[in-house]
Amino acid sequence: MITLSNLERFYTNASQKTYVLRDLSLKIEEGEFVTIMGPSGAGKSTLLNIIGMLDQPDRGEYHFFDEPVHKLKEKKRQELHKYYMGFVFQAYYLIDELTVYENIETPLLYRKVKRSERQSRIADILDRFQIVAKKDLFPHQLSGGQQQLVGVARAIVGNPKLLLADEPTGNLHSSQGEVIMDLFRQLHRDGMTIVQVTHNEKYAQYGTRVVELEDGFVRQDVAL
Amino acid sequence: MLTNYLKMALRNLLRQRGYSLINILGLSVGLTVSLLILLWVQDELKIDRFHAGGDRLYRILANLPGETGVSTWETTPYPLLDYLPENYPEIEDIGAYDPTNQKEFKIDDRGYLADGIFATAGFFRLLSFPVLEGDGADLFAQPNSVAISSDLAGKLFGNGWQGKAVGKSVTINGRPDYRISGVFADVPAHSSLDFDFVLSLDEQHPPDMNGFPWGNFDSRILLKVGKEADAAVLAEKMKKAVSENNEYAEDLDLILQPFERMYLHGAFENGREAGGRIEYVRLFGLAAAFLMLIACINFMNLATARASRRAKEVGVRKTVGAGRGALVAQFLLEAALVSAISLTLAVVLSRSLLPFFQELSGKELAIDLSSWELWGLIAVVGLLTALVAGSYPAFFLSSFRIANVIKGDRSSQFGGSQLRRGLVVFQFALSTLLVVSALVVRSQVDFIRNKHLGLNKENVLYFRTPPGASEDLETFRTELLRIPGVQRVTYADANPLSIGSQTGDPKWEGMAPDDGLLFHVMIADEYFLQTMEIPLADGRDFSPLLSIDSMSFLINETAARAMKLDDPLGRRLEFWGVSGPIVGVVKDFHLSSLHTSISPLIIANMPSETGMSLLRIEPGRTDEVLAATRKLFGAFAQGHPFRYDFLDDRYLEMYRSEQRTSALSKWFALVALFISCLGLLGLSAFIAEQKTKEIGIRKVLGASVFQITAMLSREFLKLVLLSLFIALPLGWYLMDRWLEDFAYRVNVPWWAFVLAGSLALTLAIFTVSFQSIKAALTDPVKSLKRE
Repeated sequence: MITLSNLERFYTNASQKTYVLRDLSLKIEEGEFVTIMGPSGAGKSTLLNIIGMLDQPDRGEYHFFDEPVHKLKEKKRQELHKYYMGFVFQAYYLIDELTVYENIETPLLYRKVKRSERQSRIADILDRFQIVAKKDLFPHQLSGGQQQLVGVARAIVGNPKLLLADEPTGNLHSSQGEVIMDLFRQLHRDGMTIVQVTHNEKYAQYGTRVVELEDGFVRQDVAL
Repeated sequence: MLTNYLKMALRNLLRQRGYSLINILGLSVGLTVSLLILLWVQDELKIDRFHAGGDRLYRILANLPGETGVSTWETTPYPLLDYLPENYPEIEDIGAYDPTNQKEFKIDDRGYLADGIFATAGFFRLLSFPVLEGDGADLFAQPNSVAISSDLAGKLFGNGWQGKAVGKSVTINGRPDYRISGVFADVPAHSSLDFDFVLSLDEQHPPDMNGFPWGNFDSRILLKVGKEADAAVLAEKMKKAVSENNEYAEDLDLILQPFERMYLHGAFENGREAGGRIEYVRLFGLAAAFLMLIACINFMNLATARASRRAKEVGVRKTVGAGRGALVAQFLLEAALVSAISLTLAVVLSRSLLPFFQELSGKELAIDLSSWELWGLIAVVGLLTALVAGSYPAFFLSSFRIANVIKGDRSSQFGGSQLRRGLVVFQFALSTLLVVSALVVRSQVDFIRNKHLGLNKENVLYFRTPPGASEDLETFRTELLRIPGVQRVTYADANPLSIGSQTGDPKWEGMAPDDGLLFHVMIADEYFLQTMEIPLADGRDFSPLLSIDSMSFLINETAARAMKLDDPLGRRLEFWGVSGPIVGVVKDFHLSSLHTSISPLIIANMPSETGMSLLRIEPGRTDEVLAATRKLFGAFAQGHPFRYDFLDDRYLEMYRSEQRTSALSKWFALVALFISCLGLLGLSAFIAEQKTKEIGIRKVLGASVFQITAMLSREFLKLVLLSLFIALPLGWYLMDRWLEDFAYRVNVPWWAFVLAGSLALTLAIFTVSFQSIKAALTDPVKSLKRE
């Protein structure tokens, strides 16, 4: 599904190059649940953003299925991103001015999904996540765990092939964290490909494979 | 999708009430003023545009070269009326009119004063003033005919005048033998000519002076060119029509001006159109646009300054699949919502301010909510506002890169701060410019008000001499002088500060053959100079004791110079069929508007031709004199109403448009400053909010409240100072040009610049420090804890 070869990403600061990713190659198959780990500044988030097509590598190749992403135009990349990927953030990033229902609805609006179908899909997901009662609340009226549930709901409501999660449990206490991770495991069992970044060893165990980064290199790549 | 955006926008507005208030308040105030001005402009542009075939209507003007350049007269010789159509077949129709004084119409015992004109039958054919009832094609076929408006007919014959008025006789100014030949529909509000009666110009036209009718420029001639004809070609061909027939007018050229341009483009300079009222239309239109721009800048500035708050939303929307177009649409919709709210407020506000604005502008305007035109105007203004205010923030905000936003890097990249600074400078420069203009206009208006005119205009009462007195003016004078408080009495034919009558006819002893000159003529009596307190420069005044003086003249200094006479005294002067010696030269006084230089003047001593009484009153006894005069007038009135005026009032009325400009520009300036300060308030609040952490740290490190206030205010004050550097010289230049329109003017007053500068600066300091002090006073522990 994802083939990264010889990726480089660097910043030029005062004529000095600082590498974030260096000659990184990685292959991820459909149906995998990959955890990316590593110390701060190892390039985990950058890698995730590149996979999610929010960022571009300075050098190297990225194939998503058969599409050479590194050669695509911005517009086409956006299309791929829109229809194939869901994103979950550490800080949830819900839109404050929209209710739970409306937050989950937003990606469907951008996908121009018809009204009746939007309603049934959102109803399904609210039901599945057991947050039907919260649908008319605003984000600030929810606990962190509930907000992240909404975040995950929003990420998957459009049926993406790939779920990307950047420290999804970073702002949660452990019980809330476990709820999210159980959810991920369930999604994975249902066939979703997941790539997550985490610091938490325990949550890494939920996945099928751990990729450890250090200074922009892959230091270790272990199947569980 | 749309509902999602709208919900979002509304919730945003409500959540950030302070900023929304600043935006909406600023925009609605700006929109209110703009709407009112646009209504006024729209109304001005409609004037004289209702005549059928108006695009083929022209008026004829005469260009005469003189020492100070070409002067343009609105009047031309009467014989052109026959001469032109005979010689130029392109002319489809021709007519003429000439304004006249107010006249009294009387039937039985009821008398009404009405304004009117003289005109030829062609006047009604050319212009769309429909005749409701009347004799037929030519209302003036029979002698002593008069046409009246339906309004006047209603006054004279009651509401059911139809069928009753035409054919009736009516007394006009005491002459009983007039016959009503027609009733025309009331002149519409959008006509620059306004009249309630029309008398025959052919009949009233003075007999050929010295058998030389081509020397009298007294008719305003209109013509309509044929559908196929080219007006420019015709104008070229008929250019010399007068000079071919008048040996004294060799250099005189006729020109054509489209009738529809007469109202707005009425000023001529060097023989060409040189503005007129259109300048006010442009000036006010520009001011309205400036105000809108200033208000839109507030919106742009606040929106971009607050971008960091929206950045997260932009990032999130992009990750869930929003394209740039969708985001631009969303932000534009938000701007449209704000502008719609503001516009609604503005419509309400302008409706309630309408009476005030009507008084300011001197125009009857209506906000008719059922008119499509108004809604069109509103829609255009609203859309324009949304686009101007919304497009920059929309493109700016939607351009954020997701990766950066998500990473939480929200510092420098959301600036746009360079542009914001530029806009603040622009805003304040415009506001200061408006303040400077308002002050300069005001000082010129004050100058006009207080200018010494060469005669004493204070305490002069004047009125139409009653018909019963005209047979024996001396008795009437004696009676008037008996009234306690009346110091002097003189008879004249016009208000000496606005002498209308002009002639190019005079010839004088020692005149070079081609020294034709245009003179103003004032007809007066022996007491004119004393009463008006006009000093003599040379020679003597008319004397009541010398019977020879019944045929003598005074001239002013300008006339003496223009006639190139070193010693004008005793020389004979001849015009309008009379001749006599020049007995004195008077010091120049202003005969007309201060826009023009003083022109040559002849004062003729012909009391019987005057028609107007002017009284000098002892200061403070006006009411007393007025009451007694009214009583005396009644005895001589033969039923005429007593209508009076004061010279100084009339004088100020001549400058109504300047006074109007002064009043309007004052309001423009205040509104502009207000809106700019609102923007500054919002921006400084935002900066203070953004720097909460920095302020907290500095306070912990020992900075005083004053130091922090200074730190926060400095940036803005620098911008305001910069804007002053731009606005003040520009204001100097622009206002100097405005003043050039006056032959008599103030120098650009330096204090206006000091005042405008310090006003802008003080207001800015006040606004900014309000926020800065508030920020400086907050408890650092609180602000740091939040991080």
